[in-house]
Amino acid sequence: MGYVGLIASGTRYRTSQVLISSLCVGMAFLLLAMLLCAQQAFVAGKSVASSHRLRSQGSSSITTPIPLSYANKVAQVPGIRSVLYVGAEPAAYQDDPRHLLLQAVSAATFFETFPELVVAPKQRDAFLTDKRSLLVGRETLKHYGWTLGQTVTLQTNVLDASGAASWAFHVDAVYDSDDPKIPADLTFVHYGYFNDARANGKDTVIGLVTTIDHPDQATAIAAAIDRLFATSSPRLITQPENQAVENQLTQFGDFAQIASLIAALVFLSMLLLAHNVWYERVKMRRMELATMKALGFQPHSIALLVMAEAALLTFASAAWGSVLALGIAGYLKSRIDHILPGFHFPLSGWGVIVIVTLMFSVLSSCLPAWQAARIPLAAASRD
Amino acid sequence: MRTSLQQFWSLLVLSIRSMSSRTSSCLVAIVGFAVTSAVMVSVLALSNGLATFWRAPASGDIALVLARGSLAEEGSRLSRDAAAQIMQAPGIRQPVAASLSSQLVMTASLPRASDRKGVSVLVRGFKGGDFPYRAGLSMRSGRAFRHGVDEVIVGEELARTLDHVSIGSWLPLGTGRFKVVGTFGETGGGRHESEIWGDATQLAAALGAAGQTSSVYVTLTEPQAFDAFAGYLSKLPDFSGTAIRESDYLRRQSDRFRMVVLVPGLALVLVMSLAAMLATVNTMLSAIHARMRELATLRAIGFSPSLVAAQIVGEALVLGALGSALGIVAAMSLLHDQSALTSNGLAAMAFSLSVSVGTACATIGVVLVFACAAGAWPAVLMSRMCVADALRHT
Repeated sequence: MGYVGLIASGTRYRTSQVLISSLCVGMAFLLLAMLLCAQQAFVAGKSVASSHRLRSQGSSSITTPIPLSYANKVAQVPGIRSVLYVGAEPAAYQDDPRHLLLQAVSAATFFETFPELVVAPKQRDAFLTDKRSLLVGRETLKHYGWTLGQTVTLQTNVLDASGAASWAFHVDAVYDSDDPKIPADLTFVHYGYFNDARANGKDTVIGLVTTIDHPDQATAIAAAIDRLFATSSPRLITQPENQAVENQLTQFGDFAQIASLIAALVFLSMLLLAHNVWYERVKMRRMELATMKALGFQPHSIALLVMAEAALLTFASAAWGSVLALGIAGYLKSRIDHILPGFHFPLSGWGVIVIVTLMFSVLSSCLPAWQAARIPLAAASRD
Repeated sequence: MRTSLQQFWSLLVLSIRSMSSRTSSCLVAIVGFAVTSAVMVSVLALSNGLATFWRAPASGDIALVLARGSLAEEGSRLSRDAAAQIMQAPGIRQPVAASLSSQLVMTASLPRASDRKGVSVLVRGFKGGDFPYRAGLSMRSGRAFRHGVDEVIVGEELARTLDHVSIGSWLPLGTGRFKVVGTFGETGGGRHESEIWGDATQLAAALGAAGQTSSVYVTLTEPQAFDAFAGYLSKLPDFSGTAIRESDYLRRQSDRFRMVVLVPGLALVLVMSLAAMLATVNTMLSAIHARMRELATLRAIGFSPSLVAAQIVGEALVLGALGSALGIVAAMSLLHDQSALTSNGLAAMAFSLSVSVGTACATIGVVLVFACAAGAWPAVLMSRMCVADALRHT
């Protein structure tokens, strides 16, 4: 029997214990993988496009109206490629309880600012030429059952000159994205459409998105923009986009901290379990191990045998745990995208899982393996 | 019956005594259950905290009017003549002027105490009238704000989580500076404790919302008057708002948040409970493995199979009880009366976490159910063993 055969036969000893331990350890990995998915929703994306963008908002709160004239002043700061201005209006479609947030953007610079939104060239032209057009994500299209080219009427808070709050839009374009962090339920409309016809709140926006040429100048340019309005009311707060998103996310509480605390607790208790299992198995198999020693196996190869068995069990458990988690995450993604945008399993997650698996298998079995290697031959064989 | 109970008791004591020879495997089960119950207590405490935050008022006779299509007050803006139009509606308690309260809800950014990072908080401005003493609302320190002056009062829970907020300090809100003249609270806690209150006109000027109204609170003659009230407003031509019962509004907000906390939280607890249960199955299997001859001897001298099985389930329950007690005590010492600060994306939500007796009992109950299930399989194995074979076991 070769060494591999020995390992295999070792795992067949008291199968129920092996199976139960594998279930426990696998569940710990399932939890770890799910927490990694959820954590993605709470960390800011670090995409290349995003590092070229600065976000400005009013200094007192995120909904402070900013005069539209600020955009022209910002555009004159050196190092800036383009300025996009954004208004945000909640809207409802018929009696659907889910609300849309219409982002009213200056369309001319929109696709240049957000290259990660992929739109078919024909639809892109349609969106740019039609003032009433609506650019939506796949998820929104599916949720409301809209088709391209359809005219939809949305209820908003914006009153036009006649006092009506319903506005008609043409669903002209749909965006896709390769980046899992971009939600599939954003909605964009033309800023001009609202602004030309609204009764009050004219010529104000809630944010500016500035595209810059060189990401390494981001902080300097942000400071230059804020200096422009230091004595105006409202003042502006400008941040590189990555940082702005991160700041907003910290308001939800320190998710990363809570998640790692739970993961650590679960893993510590599972480590205790696995260590105990290997300790028990070595104790129960001491006759067998002592016989192997008597036959001429070196202590280190016996220790290796125990550790290899532990590694096999841990890797198998980690594999089924994370594959199951991946399945669950795939199933959940489209269903919870509106609550937790960006929920997905990151590539770097595999690295975390492999490292945790290695550490787990070594930590759970090193002491029992050491004990196995030191079994006193004579005493153990006399049992 | 009496004798079998006595027998069961003595067997249980016997197996508990034997635990000391199997410390490490018992510890695994206890730690597993302790971690599970600590997480469950935390999830329930968070959910209870959110429930108190959005707690509905006792009286059902308050309605609020929001702009059509608005999910929450902070996003709602009513037209200037809305209050005058609402006054004409039926069902409002007399005198009408005193039953109507126009409010302006805005957000402002203030540094929080833990790390000085800016959090967005709700600022509620009141138009005219006195401090709206509603049922359960009271000043906790200082005095109420005066109209026409740059003064604000701060919710007690929010004041604890923000940086340097005390009576006499100045808060930078938008372009203005407001003096804190008091803190207020709600019996049992609630959403208003996360807000800053002041005069609408002064706050609106500083926060760039001059002349706007978010919502109008209306006290109705009786809860049943709502249908007539809402019906009148919905038929009103060129009226931009819709009426909603305050209790429905709060339920709508709370359902959204409790789902976000409870569903993933309880899913986490379920998976952890299953893992702890399996760990205990392992422990119990090792226990019967180690005590095979002892248990077989018990059977041989006349103890019934069900008694021996019950003893194993009993031992699992003892492990579960120990573990859950440990977990609850640990979670309580960490959480009890701590303030949590979270956000709904637009504004901060501050509330206290507390571990109620009900939460602790529910946790112990769930853990005991899982512990019982963990003991069941080894118990069945044991009751079916062949006594002669087991006695030969080495």
